[in-house]
Amino acid sequence: MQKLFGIDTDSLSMYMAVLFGVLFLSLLVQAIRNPILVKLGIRNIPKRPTQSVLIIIGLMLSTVIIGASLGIGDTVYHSIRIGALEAAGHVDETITSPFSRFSIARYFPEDKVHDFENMFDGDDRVDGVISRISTSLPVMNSRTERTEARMTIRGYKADGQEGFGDILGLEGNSSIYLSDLDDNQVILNKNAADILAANVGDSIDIYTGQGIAQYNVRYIAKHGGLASGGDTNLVLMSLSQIQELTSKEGLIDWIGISNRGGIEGGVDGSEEISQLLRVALIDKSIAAEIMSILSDSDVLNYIQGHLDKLENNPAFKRENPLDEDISDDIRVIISELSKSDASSEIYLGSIADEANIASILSIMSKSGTFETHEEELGSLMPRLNQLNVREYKADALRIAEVVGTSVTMLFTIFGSFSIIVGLLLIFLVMVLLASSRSTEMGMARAIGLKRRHLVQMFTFEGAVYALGAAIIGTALGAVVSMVLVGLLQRAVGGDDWVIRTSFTLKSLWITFSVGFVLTLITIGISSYRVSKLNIVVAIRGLSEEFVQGARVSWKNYIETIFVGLLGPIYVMTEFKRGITMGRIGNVAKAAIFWPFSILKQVISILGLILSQGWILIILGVLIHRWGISAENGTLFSVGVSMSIIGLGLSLRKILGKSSIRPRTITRIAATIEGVLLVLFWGVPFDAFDAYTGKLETTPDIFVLGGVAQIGSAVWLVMNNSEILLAFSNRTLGRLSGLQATFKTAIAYPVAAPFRTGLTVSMFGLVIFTLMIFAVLNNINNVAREQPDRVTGGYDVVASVRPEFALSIEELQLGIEKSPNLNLNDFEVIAQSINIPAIGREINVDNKRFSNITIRSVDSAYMDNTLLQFDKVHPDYIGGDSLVWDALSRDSDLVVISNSALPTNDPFGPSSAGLQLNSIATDSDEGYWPESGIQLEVLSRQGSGEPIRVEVIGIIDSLADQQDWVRSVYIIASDSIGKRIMPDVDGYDTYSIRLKPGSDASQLIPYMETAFIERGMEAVSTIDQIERGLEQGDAFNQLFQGFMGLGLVVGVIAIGVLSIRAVVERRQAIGTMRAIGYRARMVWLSFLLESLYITFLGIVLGLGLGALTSWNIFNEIAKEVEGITYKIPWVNVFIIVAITVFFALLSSFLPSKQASKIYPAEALRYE
Amino acid sequence: MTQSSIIVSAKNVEKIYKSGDLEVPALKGVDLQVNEGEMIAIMGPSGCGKTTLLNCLSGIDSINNGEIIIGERPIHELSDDELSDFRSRFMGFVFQTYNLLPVLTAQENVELPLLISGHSQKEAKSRAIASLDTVNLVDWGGHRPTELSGGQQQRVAIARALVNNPSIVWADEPTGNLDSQNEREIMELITRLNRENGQTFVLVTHADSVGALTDRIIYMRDGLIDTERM
Repeated sequence: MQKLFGIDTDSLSMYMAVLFGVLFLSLLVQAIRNPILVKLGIRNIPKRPTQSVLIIIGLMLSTVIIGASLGIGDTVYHSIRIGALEAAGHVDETITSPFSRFSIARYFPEDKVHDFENMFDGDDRVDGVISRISTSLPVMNSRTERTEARMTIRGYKADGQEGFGDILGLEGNSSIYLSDLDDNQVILNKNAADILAANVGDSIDIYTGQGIAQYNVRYIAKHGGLASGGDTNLVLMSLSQIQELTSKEGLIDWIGISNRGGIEGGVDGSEEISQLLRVALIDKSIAAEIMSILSDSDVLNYIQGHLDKLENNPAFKRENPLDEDISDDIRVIISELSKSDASSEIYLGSIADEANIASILSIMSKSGTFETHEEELGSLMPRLNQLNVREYKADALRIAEVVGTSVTMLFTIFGSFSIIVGLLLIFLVMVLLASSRSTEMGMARAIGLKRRHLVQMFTFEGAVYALGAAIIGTALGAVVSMVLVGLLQRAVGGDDWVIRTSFTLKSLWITFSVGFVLTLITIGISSYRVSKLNIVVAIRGLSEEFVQGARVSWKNYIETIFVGLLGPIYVMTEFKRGITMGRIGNVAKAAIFWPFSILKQVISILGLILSQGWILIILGVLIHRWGISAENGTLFSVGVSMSIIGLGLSLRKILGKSSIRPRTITRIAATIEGVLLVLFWGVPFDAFDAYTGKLETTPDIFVLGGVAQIGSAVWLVMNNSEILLAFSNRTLGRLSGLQATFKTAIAYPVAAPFRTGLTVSMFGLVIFTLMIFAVLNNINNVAREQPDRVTGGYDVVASVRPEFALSIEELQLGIEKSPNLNLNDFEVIAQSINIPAIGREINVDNKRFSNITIRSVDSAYMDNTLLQFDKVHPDYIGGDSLVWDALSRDSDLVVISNSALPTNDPFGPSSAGLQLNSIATDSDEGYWPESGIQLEVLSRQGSGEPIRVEVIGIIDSLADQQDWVRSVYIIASDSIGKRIMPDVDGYDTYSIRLKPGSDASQLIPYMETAFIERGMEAVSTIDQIERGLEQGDAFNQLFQGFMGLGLVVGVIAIGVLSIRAVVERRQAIGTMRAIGYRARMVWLSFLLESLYITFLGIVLGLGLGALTSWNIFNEIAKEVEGITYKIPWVNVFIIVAITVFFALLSSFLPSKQASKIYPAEALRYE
Repeated sequence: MTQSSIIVSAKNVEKIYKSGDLEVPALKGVDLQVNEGEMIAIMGPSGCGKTTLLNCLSGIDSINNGEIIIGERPIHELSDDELSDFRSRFMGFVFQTYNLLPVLTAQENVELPLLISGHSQKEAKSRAIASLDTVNLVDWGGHRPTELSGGQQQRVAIARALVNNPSIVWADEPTGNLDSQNEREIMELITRLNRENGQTFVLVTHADSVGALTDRIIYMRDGLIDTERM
């Protein structure tokens, strides 16, 4: 289920349907009741078609951005989903060894498949069970001499093909059966045939490590069925053939199960079938051991008590979140424990799910009294399942959903700024529209129209615009998403990722309805604001600033609230004057609108209470304290901000009793509010840690913080605009020849703080985000500047399959033999091998084993690596080499990857594997747990005695930069690897440092050719970094482009302001021209005005963006040593130049138009 | 009347307004001469072309035919920029609706013509204060127009019109929006300035009381000068 704004899209589309329906119905009811208002409202639309079109364009931008975000998410989800379905074909569940990613130990007996064949015999939920071996080996087409170093070779059990789709030849549509293949015949899928340039009848050589096996190509198959596998290059044969080829007679490494229902429909039954499989594969003796541990009455009571608390205590539930399904499963386990039957299917089925046992372990760890039980349970967990069951296709689809949702989230979080800017534009457009009609509206009020009628009139007109904007915006959003996805593919894709454009109906509906509703709500708010006009002021076109709002007495106020709350009961008092149909109707009407009336009064009471200031201060304090106790950064920040606003309001009340001018009071209070808010949101993220402790933050804090900073800075500037005006006049205003022009250019925006503030906020918000991205983008370059921290100083990493492991002598010999390679070019050749394992930290609450990879390295690796450390055990401080030397000497010492550290980064990817508890990313510099960091590591099957190792260093986070999955690994001497996996012999990865002057990119093809028989693959580490950085840069630039959509909004706002200014100031233009302004001066004055507003937004955006990026940088600097804060001036200049250029362009035409007005003609205008 | 004392000379001035296919002749061949230092009033019924004539004479509106010479410059031949410069150096304007820029203070409004004609900020400021002093509003210089009464606004407008020491001041219904007390004060101010500075004033007015204070009254009817009265 994809999510938007944290709500799953299915629910969101339903909520939107309800909201849309309610809004639509209420509009309809109002329209039927007051058709004249509808007529008055919408008559303007066809009268001024150009203006109407412009308004719709202005209103639709938020919708476009929402649509683009959803469209990108849809397309990414759809592309990955289709890719996953193609790759999985008909396979719904897989059974593999826990070592499935480690080739030597991944095989298991072939006859295991019979258990499942028997199990599902006659079961109409399953239509096929098949076993296979899959490996990758070097292959060469003897005819064309085309080679592939790592061709996937798969051998399926020939009689299990049914249920897994047809294998179809490239020519003709007849099915191909594996049983038809002779011993020396294979099938190539189209990809493999293309790579090898192979035709039917060609002879191919497969290098097995022991020799070369020759096969004839019998068929070339289309993608589909067992020949698919997505984009895999596939040589297909029967199981017996591959067993012979790989010398794995009687063994398989995979069992696949196809559910009934075809490729897509099969997924539905996946959970059920997987559960059956897990129960079947469970180790009954381990299950019995787990039962005996959990049957301890203390343990049982504690878990039961915990579950009861979860059910009855919402606060406890918030602090200890547990999935409800898991909670139900644990209750089932508890109930089964009382029966003491460890072989009960219900019990086995419940504990077969690893998440249930992990949750029980987590609950037990909270008591602090079951340490021994936890230790035992933690050790038993990995051994519970003999083989791993995976919901293969469903998992792939879930990943597609997660990625799609993440992409949507990323785009909506950052797009939020543009959406907010778009909403500000709607507000601005409606306010300007109202101001152009102020005389008309004043007249309407004068002849008896009520304020709510004006709101309705505007809302009717706005609803038509909103509808048009939502429709066009949705369509345009889809188009923008396609363009951005195209760019995204160029940025991160390549040939491997096929983009399949998609925009679901659900997204279409959400975009349309969210766009419409947001627009309509903004229109409603702006209509309410404009309806509060003073009739005389409106008719005479005077300034509102000198109009004092009427003071409502407390008596009247309480009366209004009372009447509102009593609603129909109050109206019934009319009956004392006699009951008439009209009065009954009034009561009925009051009853219908009663809930709204109560809501209105509640809001009004709340508004009154909050406007007292001191109440807001107290409320803010309570919320921020709540935030601290709940460790919630958002609540804390909101609470403090409320207190600051409360302080400002209180100050207004207090100073209001003095003789200070109201304007000065407002300025003092607003300045204090603005300064405090800017400071609060602008200080380093950890500034309050001493007071608050560590608080959790979610990505929304970024949007909230950005809006709060820009909003408060604009508030501060606009309330001190006179100072800015005086400063501008005394500096730029002294420029010879520009004095008069500059004076009027600045005076107008300063005199209209509301609309200027809105527009400045728009530019400010967009530039703020662009600036942050520009700076952060620059930080990535540290890998380019200090590549050794990523590569360890090795220029080439070459790898072979473990079966083909080369000794160092063999490698050197191969290099010497090669006519194109010279051993003298090789300075260091270090060896390593990755061993899958599980591990847990000792002496911490979490007793669960998690995945960890042991990178077993030789002494050459440790002697020569240039990898650095982020944190080091106090005994080894004094240089990285101390740590590596210690590792060489003591085989019980290891270093661990940075991905093992828990991080608070809301945007960062989560790590896949073991997480340390005793130390974290944001631990103080120099901190190391007093008792050290000890780990227990085990083979991934959980078998054997755990090995205890001590971590003495945490590797620099930059070393993991290329690893998007952030898998956790330890680097250890080879003896640890051998203790975990005694079968492992040799190394499969070679880290090579070349002598100065040697070119890795040139050597790599020769190395791959020299070791083609071993299927060697080699990469240049520097090229890899470059590629990664280029992709990152391209992605960031794409993001900048997306966020730059907000600039379009700002630019349109400037254009709208200019058009309006020309109309409003026609007479002033006439006067200016009469007293001697040249046409060019009028034009320049308007342009300067736009420039001034734009620059104000740019300066605030750049300044606060730089401040925030500095804070972010400092957080990153805690994790990544050696990075420097640099503002990319060229990038910033480009952003500023583009902004200024388009802002000027949008005001160019209106300004030109203003300058062309003949003075007498302008003066005639009223 | 010698040729050199004539500051404004209009010959056969025609002005036609076009609205779609409709052509409305506003001036049908007006001949007029105004002497240096003279204060004249143009009067007549609504729609007779008074304001149009004033606009054309002052160069803020174009003419369709004829010629207008101010000083010795045929302003109908000047480019838009030349006309703007000419207005800023030699003319002052007073309008019925004051037409002060609402976003500037009274003093800044008065400074504006000086800044346009290239004076320094410092000089503009001192001369604006002096000009405001002339109209007895020096204490109100820091106020915006909306904070001033109608009479005060018109006096600021007069200060603005005079700050550049122009040769001619054009005033379109300068007392049209004022009560009788303010009308009297404004006209006393204008006549005093005319007398003391020797500047030429051309006034468009409906009010006989205003006309009575001028040297000469030009009566217009249907786009033509009907009669003149000294």
